[in-house]
Formats: sequence, C-alpha cells, structure tokens
Amino acid sequence: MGLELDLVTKQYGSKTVCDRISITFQKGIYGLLGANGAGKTTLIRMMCGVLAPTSGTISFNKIDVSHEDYRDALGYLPQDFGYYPEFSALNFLLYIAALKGLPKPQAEEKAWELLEQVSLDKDARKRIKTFSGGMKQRLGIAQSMLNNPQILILDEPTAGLDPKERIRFRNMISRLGADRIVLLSTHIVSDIEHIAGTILVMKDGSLIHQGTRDEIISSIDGKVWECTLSQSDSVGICKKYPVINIRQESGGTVLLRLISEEKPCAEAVNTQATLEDLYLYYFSEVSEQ
Amino acid sequence: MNRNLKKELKSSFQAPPPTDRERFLKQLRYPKITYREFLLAQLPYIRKRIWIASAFIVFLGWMIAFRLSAFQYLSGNGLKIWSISSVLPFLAVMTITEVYRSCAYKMAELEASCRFCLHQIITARISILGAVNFIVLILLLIFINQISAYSLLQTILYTIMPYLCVCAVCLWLLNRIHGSDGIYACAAAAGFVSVASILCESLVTVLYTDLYLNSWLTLFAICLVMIGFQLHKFAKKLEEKQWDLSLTW
Repeated sequence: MGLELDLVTKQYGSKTVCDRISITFQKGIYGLLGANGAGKTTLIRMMCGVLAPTSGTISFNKIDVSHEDYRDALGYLPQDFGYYPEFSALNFLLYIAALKGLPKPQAEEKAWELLEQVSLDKDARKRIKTFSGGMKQRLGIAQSMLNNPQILILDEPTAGLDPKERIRFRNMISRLGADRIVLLSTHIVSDIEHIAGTILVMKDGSLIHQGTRDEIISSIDGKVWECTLSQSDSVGICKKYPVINIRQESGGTVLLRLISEEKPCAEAVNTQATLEDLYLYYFSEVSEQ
Repeated sequence: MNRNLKKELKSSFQAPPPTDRERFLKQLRYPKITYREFLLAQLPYIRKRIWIASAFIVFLGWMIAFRLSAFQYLSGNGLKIWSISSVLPFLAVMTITEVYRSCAYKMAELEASCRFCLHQIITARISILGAVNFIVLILLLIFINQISAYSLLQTILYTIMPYLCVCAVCLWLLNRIHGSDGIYACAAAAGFVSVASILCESLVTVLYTDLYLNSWLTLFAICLVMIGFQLHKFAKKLEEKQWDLSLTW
C-alpha cells in the first residue's frame, strides 16, 4: 500500500528522461534532490497524471494514476503554474476547488481557511497579476491543499520566496507531512535538509540514492576536506577539485572546502560531510555546464 | 427513543465539551460534486465578453433584419446576410480561444492534475460554448429567414460559412502554435476572414446565386471535416497527455 512506482520509464525518442524508477512512498516527507535536467519534473508530472509514462506503473493504494480517485487524493503545485488574468486569489481557489469537486459552501470555507494560513486573506480579492512572486507561490501552495490531499507533490515550491517565507513554508510542510505523503522536489538543499525524512537523489533520470539524511551523507564520508592555503596554491587546487566553499582568511590565506576521493594536499584535513557537499559531489559537472 | 425522554435526558445531563472537533471537521471528506454540477459550476468561469458578444450579435442580427431605417444602405437581402455573416468570425474566434485558454495561460498542467481533469474541463467548455453559439446561430437564422429571398439551405450556407471557416482555421492553428501566440494567430485569422468577407461586398450578388451553390456546399463540407479532424486531433493529444511537450524536462 502507499504510493507505488514500478519501473517507471519516460522516453522521448532515443532520450530516456526517467529510467526504470521503482519506489514506494509511505506517509512522511520526501525530498527529491537533483540538478536541473535530472528528470525530477518529468517524474513528478508522471506521478501527477499529467504525463503518461512510456512504461511502468504508478498507483496509490492500488488505484492507477490515470483514475479519477487517484487525482482526488492528489494535491500538486507545478513548477511554473499560470492563472487566468481576470482571477483574484479567492476566485482562483474557488475555480480549482470546483475542478477538485468540492461543493461550493465547503470550497468557500476551505479557500478562506487556506488564504489565512498562507497570509493572503487580506489580498483575497486582489487580482493575481498584481501579486509578487512569493505571493503567487503561496497561493499555489494553498490551491494544492484545497482537497486535503493524501498525496502532496510540490515542484520547486520555494522558488521566489524570501528567507522568512521559506522558513514559514518549511514549518507548514513539516506539519502537513504528519498524516500524508509529501514529495518536495528541489535543487535547493536547505529546503529539504531539515524536514525530509527520506531524501531521494536523482541524476540522469535515475534515483542514485535514497535514505535518511545521514544514510545519504555516509556515501561521501571521508571525501570532504578543508585546507588553508596561500592564494597562489589555492588556484591550482580549485582547478583540480570541486570546491564547495572559499573563505578569505586573515594574512592573505584562503580556507577551502572541497570534495576529493583522496587527500588533495598535505594541509588538508578530513571534515564532516553535509548534504550540500553530497549535492556538489554528484552534480558538480552539471553545475559547471 | 421517546421524544420526551430525550428532552428530559438533554436537560438533566449536560453533553461533554467536544474534543478534537476542529481536527475531525478538517479531516472530514465531503461528498464530491457530480459532472453535471461541475458543468454548471463552469458557467461563471466563461468570460463575460462571450455572453456580451453573443447578445450583441443577436441584437445586431435583429436590427439588420427588421430595423431597416438604421441599415437602409443594405437594401438587398443578400447584403443583409453578408453583413451578419461578416461579424460571426469574431464570435468563432472568441469561442475557440475560450476553449483553449488553459494552454494559453499555463493552467493546463494544474488542471490536468485535478479530479475533473483537463479533458473534462475542455469538454465542459465545448458543451457550454457550443450550446451558446448554437442558440446565437439559430436566432440569427430565424431572423434572416424572415427576410431572405433565398432557400433555407442557401441562407444557412451564406450565413455561417465565415464562422465555420474561422473555426476550422483557428483549430488548425491552435493545434500547432502553443501559448498566447496561438491566440494572436487566431485573432489574425478571424480578422482576415472578416476583412475578406467585407471586401467581397460587390461580389455578393454573384456569389449568392445558384451557380455557385455546389461550391458553397463543397466548402461547407470541407470546413466541417476539418473542424471534426482538428477537434479529434486535440482530444487525442489530451488523451495521450502530449498537450505540451515543450514543458518537459
């Protein structure tokens, strides 16, 4: 039971965007981490019934993704969602509520409740086109919760949110994850580091890792180094290894944090790995591109 | 239970305060609306301009047909049919773009993931707008037929041909051009058909003769086939969920 993906594959011509992905989601928060172009959005679209997989099956409690009952249990925030220009925030929520099959009295009640939760109740009757990016994103999050979904899928939900909103959003997701499946796709490590019970790492259309934060990080234990070098020595090291952080120290030296299979220089000291280190370890080539 | 006994119990024993009531109500799953209710719920989301334009076209048709003083320069009944038919492309373009607005305003992905999915939403819009257009066309044909010297078949052909042409061309365009560009292309097509129709004013008396009736019938059939084909193509795209490959990864 739960949300099951069985050998889900998506191909466009000869290009395989998602390659035989199998996983079962139970209640809790899942973070889907991957660089741009890793296939996260395609996987999410298939899980939301927006795209059909080339092969494989997706089901929730044995209900196929193509079935109305599956969509009934789903809340989805797309990466880049639009709105009709004449819509106010309230109209938008009522429209989506109608598409989700909510009767009008319940839809109005739920819309106001969610607008309050995302602090848009005072702007409820303003047109969405006057909203900032953060306000639109909060509205998007509100619409995804209209039907009190058992599966909540959010694609890059924190895009456009300021740090304060981002923290508030994380707290909101933490609360929501208690009694439903929440899948959060992002390439921003800090979005999921502290709230996701399970982290999925996706690269080139495949899930290369899945587990808790500590389990995932253990795969690069012993590969993260810190060293203090002169400016000139640091240039050569930066060219040779993926550097996570550079900090100018007093006395003209530089503190480097980098990833390497072997000790990069005599001064290097092994240090505790973080999720950000892991991201860079797997996606440094993609980022450079 | 006896009503009096119930009343006595209620007055003698106070009910305990509700615990976790709010949470219970939040978790409660309400019965969902049926497709018919959903169809009716879509009515307010059809833009006002569709209703206004439809009412205006019916009013214009009535004025042209029966209020000769305002349209004295349209002396022949051929010119009356021609003038009404020249306005109909705008009704067609407004209808088609209303049906396709999910794709133009990037709402398609969100709508596709809802209980009533994109396919059902588009069907609902086609049903509502199709019914509205049908009523408008029927009313216009009733008005025109009152004053027309042509047969009913000719009146139908001459009146709705520009409308059908624009429907066919717009559907063809929207199956090829995505986003708001498609809507601009449709507006251009409607403008072109309407202007072409206006420019043909001097030819009306020739084109509306029996000599060209077969050509009108052929064009009518071509437009109907093209509309059917393009609608089928669009429906197939929705079923195969290939409505916007440009968004993919």
